[in-house]
Amino acid sequence: MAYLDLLVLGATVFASYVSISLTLNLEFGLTGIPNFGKVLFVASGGMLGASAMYRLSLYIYNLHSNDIFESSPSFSAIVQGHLVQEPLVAVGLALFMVAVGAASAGVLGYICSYPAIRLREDYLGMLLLGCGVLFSSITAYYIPVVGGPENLVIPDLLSGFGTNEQYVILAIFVAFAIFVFLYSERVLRSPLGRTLKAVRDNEVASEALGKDNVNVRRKMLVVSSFLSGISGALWVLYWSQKGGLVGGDVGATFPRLLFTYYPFTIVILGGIASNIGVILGSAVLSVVYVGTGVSLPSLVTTIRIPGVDPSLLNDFVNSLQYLLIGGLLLAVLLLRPEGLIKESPTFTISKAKLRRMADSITGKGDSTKQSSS
Amino acid sequence: MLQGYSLNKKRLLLINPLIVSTLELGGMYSIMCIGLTVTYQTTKVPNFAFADYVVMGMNAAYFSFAIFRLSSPYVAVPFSVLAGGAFAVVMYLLIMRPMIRRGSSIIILMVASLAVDILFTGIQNDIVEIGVTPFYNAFLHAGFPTLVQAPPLPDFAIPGICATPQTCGLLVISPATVGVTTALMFLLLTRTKFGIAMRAAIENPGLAQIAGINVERVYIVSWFIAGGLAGLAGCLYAIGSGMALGVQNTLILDIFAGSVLGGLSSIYGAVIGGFLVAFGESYVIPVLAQDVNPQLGLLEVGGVSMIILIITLLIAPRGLVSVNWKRFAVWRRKV
Repeated sequence: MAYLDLLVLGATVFASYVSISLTLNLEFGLTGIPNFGKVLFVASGGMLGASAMYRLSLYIYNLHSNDIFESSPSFSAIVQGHLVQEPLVAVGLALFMVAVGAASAGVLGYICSYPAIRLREDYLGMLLLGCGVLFSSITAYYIPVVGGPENLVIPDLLSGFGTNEQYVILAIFVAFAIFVFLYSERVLRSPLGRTLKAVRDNEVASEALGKDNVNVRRKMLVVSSFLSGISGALWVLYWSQKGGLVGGDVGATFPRLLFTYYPFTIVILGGIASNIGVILGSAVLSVVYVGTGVSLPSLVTTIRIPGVDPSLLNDFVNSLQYLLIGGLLLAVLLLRPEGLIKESPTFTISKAKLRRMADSITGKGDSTKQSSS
Repeated sequence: MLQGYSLNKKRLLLINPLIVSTLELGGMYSIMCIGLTVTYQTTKVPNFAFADYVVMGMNAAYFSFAIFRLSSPYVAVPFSVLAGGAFAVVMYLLIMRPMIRRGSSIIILMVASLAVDILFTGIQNDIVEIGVTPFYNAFLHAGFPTLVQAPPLPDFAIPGICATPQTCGLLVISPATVGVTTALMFLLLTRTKFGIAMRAAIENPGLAQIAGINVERVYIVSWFIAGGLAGLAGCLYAIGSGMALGVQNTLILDIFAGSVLGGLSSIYGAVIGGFLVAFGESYVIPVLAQDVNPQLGLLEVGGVSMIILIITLLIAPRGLVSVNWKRFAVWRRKV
């Protein structure tokens, strides 16, 4: 049973990393925006969405308190009791959370892009990194957002599904990942994709050809922030089923390691501007996460080595991921800079269709319908 | 989360403690900003691993202080400088140089420096904290502080200025170090053959190479200087504020803000930027938090530096050095 849970967790993590890393690939791989503050957009989507959803549920069921965050465990239990009977309200609340999360992440993306986007990429990297750190240090102590030091316990929205809930959530994650993948493929093959590559590789040339570099970059940052906000809200949905703790401390709820460093490693490992590469990279790093981030720590708690403090061993295992991720990232950058799948020219039409058209022109193929025009 | 320097604000001093911490912190930030400016000038890459050199300097200060039983932590400065400089040179030789030779873009180089930062976090958390420290405690000298939240190293007292010896000497040493560093950098860059070669290599590497300058050697020495300055600042930081695990994550923001405010191109700009960031962090914010709204105190860690960075990018993206100050002198003549 435990293995099944681990498998479901691994699949959920994989689907989530596919969607988050694909949006990072749109920004970083295609457009050349070094978004070192990826965690900001995922975390803001999750936390602001969760906060808004919790407030709306209190409003619907007419619950009042002086400190809504302190009384969130009891309130969430009451709300959950209502939601089991009213599944439509539960679905509505979940949709509301995702919508608010996506919108707030998109707005934050626009705000963050404003000061730096017309400047060089190095300033943009510094600014986005700093905004990520700033967001986590503010939400950790500022109570009105998600309770600050007090933890916000949110109701389990999809509890009506009973034991099948984790599979339903997995299905939602997978559906969203497929949607983001189709969208990324579409962008990559469209004229917009070639514009993005032009902006990334040669700003002067793209400007000379009449492209508005600033606007293109801002658009991509807003769209990918919007999509990462949805990913963040989906994580809150996942946690709501696992006990529903959304701490005010972003550093603990949405760690930078998992939501900035992992996606960057995925994109670099898979190959810049390659959607298939992102899927391969996500598969590798989901295994790394389930192995060193989940299995190993739970394994370590059972081991007792005489003379060694168990908490020390625990700290050691927790930091092991930094060594692994940093080492892997550097190894790929130094030894195989193009990643698993090398960037290649993209075709607007699929290769098979192109061949059929060529065949029809030369008269080899049997598809006479296309040559009639 | 909160950095160490806010821990010992309550010390008894005869001078306003906010001014004291501004001067101390400003000195450290200025030295770090000079270092970052040097690495930025040589490779044109914002070095996200720069705060790790500072942490390396702190490690060296703590370990040399404990191993050699030093009488004063200021004697540990050479060890810190060597540790920071060695780290910077190793990073340049092993990672930056091969990638620059291959023609990697600035973004990829930034990711590489971030990767070094991630790797160093792992090394610091796992090897230094969990491997080396207990080993030292067990075999060499029990009672060495764990570096997760290490107390400040003991400072010397100056009678008449401070009531307690805790971080009193630093009030003099930290600004003085900035003065000496700036003077030495000025002399190096304008009066020595190597300094002129360094400027030439930064200005135009190709032409400098034709003129017979070994550009590679110049870059290696520049990175050693930058890392050494970071290590020096790290030693001072360990004396003034102690050390907390993960301090590099917020320190890098202050360094970036100070350097961008200074223009990322001039040593004097970096000094001014460092002091202004420290002024905002340890003077403006505590005063505002006390008088206006205590919630504003949240901005102390990272917040001030981000606000300074954003305002700089909006108003004067090339930093204070690029501003035409003579434009503002018009009204002064009329008075």
